[in-house]
Amino acid sequence: MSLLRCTAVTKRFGGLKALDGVDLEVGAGEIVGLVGPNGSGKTTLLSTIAGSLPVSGGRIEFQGRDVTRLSSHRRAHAGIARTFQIPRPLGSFDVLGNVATAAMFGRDRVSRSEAIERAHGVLKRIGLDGHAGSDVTTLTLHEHKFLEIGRALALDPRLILLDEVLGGLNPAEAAAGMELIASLRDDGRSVIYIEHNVRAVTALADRMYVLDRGRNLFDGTPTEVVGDDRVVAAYLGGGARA
Amino acid sequence: MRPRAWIEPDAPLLRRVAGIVVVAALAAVLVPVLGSNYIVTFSFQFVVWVALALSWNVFSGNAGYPSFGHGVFFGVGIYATAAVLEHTDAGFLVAMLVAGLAAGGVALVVGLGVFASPRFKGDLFGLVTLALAFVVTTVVSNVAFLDGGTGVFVREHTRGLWVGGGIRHVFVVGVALAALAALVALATSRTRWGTALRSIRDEEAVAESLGVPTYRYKVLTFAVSGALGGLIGAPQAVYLGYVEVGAVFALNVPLFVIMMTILGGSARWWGPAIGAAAVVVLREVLLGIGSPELSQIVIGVFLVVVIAVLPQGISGAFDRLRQPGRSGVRGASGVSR
Repeated sequence: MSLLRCTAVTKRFGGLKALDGVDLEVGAGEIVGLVGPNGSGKTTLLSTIAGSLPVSGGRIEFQGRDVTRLSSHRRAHAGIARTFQIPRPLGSFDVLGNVATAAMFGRDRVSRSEAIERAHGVLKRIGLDGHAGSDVTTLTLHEHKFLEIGRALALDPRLILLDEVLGGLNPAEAAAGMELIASLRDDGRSVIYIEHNVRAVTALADRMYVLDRGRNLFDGTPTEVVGDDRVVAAYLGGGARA
Repeated sequence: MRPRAWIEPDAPLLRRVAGIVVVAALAAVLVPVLGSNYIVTFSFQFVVWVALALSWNVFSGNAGYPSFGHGVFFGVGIYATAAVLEHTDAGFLVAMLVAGLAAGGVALVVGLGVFASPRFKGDLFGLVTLALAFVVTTVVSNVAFLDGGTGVFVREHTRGLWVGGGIRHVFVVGVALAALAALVALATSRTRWGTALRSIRDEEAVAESLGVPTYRYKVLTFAVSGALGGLIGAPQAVYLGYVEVGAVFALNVPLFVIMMTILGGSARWWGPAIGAAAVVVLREVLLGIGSPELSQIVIGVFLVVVIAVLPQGISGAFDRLRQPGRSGVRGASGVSR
């Protein structure tokens, strides 16, 4: 049984159809890459799965349960976590507090001291344990991106939605990021992973979906996607083969 | 402002609760015994403003939803008290309870509706709460049971009651309610509740995605804030003796409360209380110059200067003094965001 199943998901913004009947499926412990040109609806799809945006039509099932109308925080409790493409830390709290908030309100209701303990564990894992008491405004871009992942991880989710978490990072930082993402799969978590850097996606993903103007264009293994002429010609460009 | 560290040991929290209770108990005993009528009257007004500013901040400051409706909750509490005392034989405590429930009920209904739509944020939320003032004023003026346009002589109905026994008794009630507001404010400092409210103020969509039930927290906290505002209306009704719509629902209540919170800052739970103290004392001192208009101008200038010099308010400056070298990096907390 698949962990997540989106069926004919549609999202309209006024007259614009940002998503037009998209299907997507994610199995347990699977990393699914989501690619497509700008404006193809990747982030919109992620937001509908996370519940940040209500759908205009279609159905979203998580662990066999219809979550289409469920609010965002209930989906977080059910085990869906997301990151934001442009990092959005909570400015009232230090780095530890950002992660601890997620731990406290996440899947199981825990006390403050338990949340702090979990948050320390997460910070260690994402390499920010030296910044626990830091003001979030002092973080570098790479640390901000990792904090986004850390906050999602603190929810102890079954599915993590990553929105361009490696964008703008230097090669060394991106490599560390890829290692972190791969380790999520080793936890038994599933990942949907949006990235402009197609090479990073093909290196990590078990399967990939290609969106185009709010529709499914293609899906398959990374090799199939990169080898597909339509995809390569129209969206990935020549560089994808290199 | 340096963001508040997330860890708060439990011992100081208990000590603070004890501190609030002790200070309130001392005030309730010493002020009526030692103070002149003038001092006690002044002290009553003082604790009313402290309670109003603290209770406004519980929701509006913490969650970042500035409301112009706090005068409505205060006014509903005043009128509920007047109505209970006028139409029933129930005592003052029942009237006060009804005042709190009525104001909390109004806030609950408004919150259930307004927070259901993500559109009513920031300025629009402020506008809705402002409109609420006009709606409630119209209703109260036209319902004979409450007012009907003639006003209510509360004084006639408190003669036989303990609370009607003079300003000293009214003050004791006021102090108790200010202490209650302080305890609730403390409960929204570094607790699960406070974390939820602050995450809503910072990034509401992020708070939701981290599992915070934002709608529930907003609705319930707004109701608690409104109920506290209504409760403090009960002794105010007795203090006024005669209540009428024009004075009770004047917009100066929400404006003063917002000004006090900006002055005191909402970086700390007690900030609004400090702001209330500053404004009330300043106003009393300025009475000496004999011109209410001039005194308003001076208070206005004072506010502007404080905002310019201390963007985090007085409590924010206190933090900076305690942690030298950590300069402010964020905008004014709560009110302007």
